[in-house]
Amino acid sequence: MAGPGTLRPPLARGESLAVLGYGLRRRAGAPLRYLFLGVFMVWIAFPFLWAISSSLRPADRLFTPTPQWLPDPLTFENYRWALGEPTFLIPLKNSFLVSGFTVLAAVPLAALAAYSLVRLRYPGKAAIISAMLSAQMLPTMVLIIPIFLIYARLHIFNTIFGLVLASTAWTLPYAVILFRGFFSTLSVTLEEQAMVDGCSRLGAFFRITLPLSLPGIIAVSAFVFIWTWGDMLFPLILTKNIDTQTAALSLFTMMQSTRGATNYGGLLAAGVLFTVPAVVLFIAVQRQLLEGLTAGALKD
Amino acid sequence: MRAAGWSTQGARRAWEGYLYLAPAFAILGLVVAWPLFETLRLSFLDVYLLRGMGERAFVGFDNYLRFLRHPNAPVYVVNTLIYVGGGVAGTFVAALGLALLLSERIALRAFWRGLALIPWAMPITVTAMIWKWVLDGQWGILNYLLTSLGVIDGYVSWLSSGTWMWPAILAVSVWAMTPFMFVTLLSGLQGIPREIYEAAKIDGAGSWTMFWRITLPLLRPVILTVLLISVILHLREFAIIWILTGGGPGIRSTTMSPLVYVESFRHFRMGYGAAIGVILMSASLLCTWIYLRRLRVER
Repeated sequence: MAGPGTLRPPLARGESLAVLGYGLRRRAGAPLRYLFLGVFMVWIAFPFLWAISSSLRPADRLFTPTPQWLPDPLTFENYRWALGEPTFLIPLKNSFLVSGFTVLAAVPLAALAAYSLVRLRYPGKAAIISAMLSAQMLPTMVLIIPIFLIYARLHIFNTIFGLVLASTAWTLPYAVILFRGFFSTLSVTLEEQAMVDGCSRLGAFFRITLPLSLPGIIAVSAFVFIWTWGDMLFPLILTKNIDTQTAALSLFTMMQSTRGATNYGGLLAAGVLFTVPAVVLFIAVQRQLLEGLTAGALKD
Repeated sequence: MRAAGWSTQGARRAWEGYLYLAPAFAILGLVVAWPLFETLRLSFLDVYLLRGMGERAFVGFDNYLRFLRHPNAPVYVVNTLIYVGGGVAGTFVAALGLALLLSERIALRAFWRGLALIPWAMPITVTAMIWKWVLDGQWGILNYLLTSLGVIDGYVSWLSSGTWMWPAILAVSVWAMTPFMFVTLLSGLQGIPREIYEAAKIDGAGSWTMFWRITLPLLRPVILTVLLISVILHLREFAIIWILTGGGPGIRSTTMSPLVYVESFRHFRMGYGAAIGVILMSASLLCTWIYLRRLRVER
């Protein structure tokens, strides 16, 4: 179990490890290392840099036998198109609704469950944690067949509520595991003090533990938001029209339509716009999030 | 210090503990446990949605047998093995390479680490969209670059060519899957005490020896864990393949997860789809079981 001090932030500053040894650096290793790094980084960064560059050029400069590296003339017409296109804007609004409500639902439920697992003593905890870890590994596609049938029966097929419910369930196990890691690094003393002073257990949890675990709350919220934002499988199966579809799905639908195929510049612009919230959020909370994510995978 | 009286209220605390878990488990029950049970049940029923939802005859193992006897079944299984094998191997090599490079003292290290993680946050639809644009057979920049460098003679339709389809899918998949494995391996590397390397260096060990004798053996538990997780993630991956190729040309890139989708939601044979899903899930649960056992042993 992750106790205080055992969570090592993977991105700790100034911490270096001579994995390949100092010898390599002294010999001809350094240029080789930068060469490998260069290849990796080009492979990682080139596709999205190229997509951004392509989205900034007029349509007649997009399909050219000799591609231009930088857009000339530079134009925002693709972005104007995307921001005036209802088949993108309505799903984008839905993406915000579904991801936002999923955060509001999953985070408190996960915090409460994790709190119970960390602070209270009762039989069956190991089994509960194993069940959570297993649930998180299940193949979504397999469970979605009955989810579809159940949704039809409960009349929540093709609703924002249905998407929020499914996404909440899907992000809960990981959120609980993340919170568990964060809570177990907090001392129990303050909470007990508050309870001696007449606070109820839940009161102590809300007044003492939650405010102290704000970095954890931010990280879990970011994880839930980013996962839900990018998911296209639940919308694919559980929605049927644009009023409830999220942008992760509608961009795919647009790619398949002939209109999307001819206006690839507009499509790329919409893709870039859709990516911005997730990537900005990720960069903002990177450290807290990664700390929890790796701990969650490696320690029960 | 624990206040007296609390420990005597064990029963109340247990009751309280379960109470706080209840809301989360209610939702997991509705959207995970019940569907899990329903998938198993469906796999023994003949459910054909176009004939109506009500008619469900019990057909025993017919759905399973139908898949096992299907002439295309070996194709789907081989496709899945190619995708899982190629994807896990490729992701591991890329992630370990990146982790080794970025655990060294290197200029702008924090920036490179952040950049390497961006694909994790990108919506999979956008990942597939930008790669489709790069890989486009007619206007794709990759064809242009490779022909101008003289690597290929003519333009290649990467995603619809029988030869290049798998390398292309795997390149995109590895791109998307690498960040998570990279951070996990990186944190594993940082758990290896530096002193060991320094001691080995004093004993005259070269960097190659140190990698094989220190880094790999000490990283082994982390490596096994990330490989298991990676197998599970690849077994269930649907979106990458579906958006890039739609499982085509024909069924040549259809793995088990897209197959479950096609049978259940395109052909509406939900009993049959569920049976294929249960086969897929068994493979995935086997890996989960090993993963959980490993975690318990480590503890």
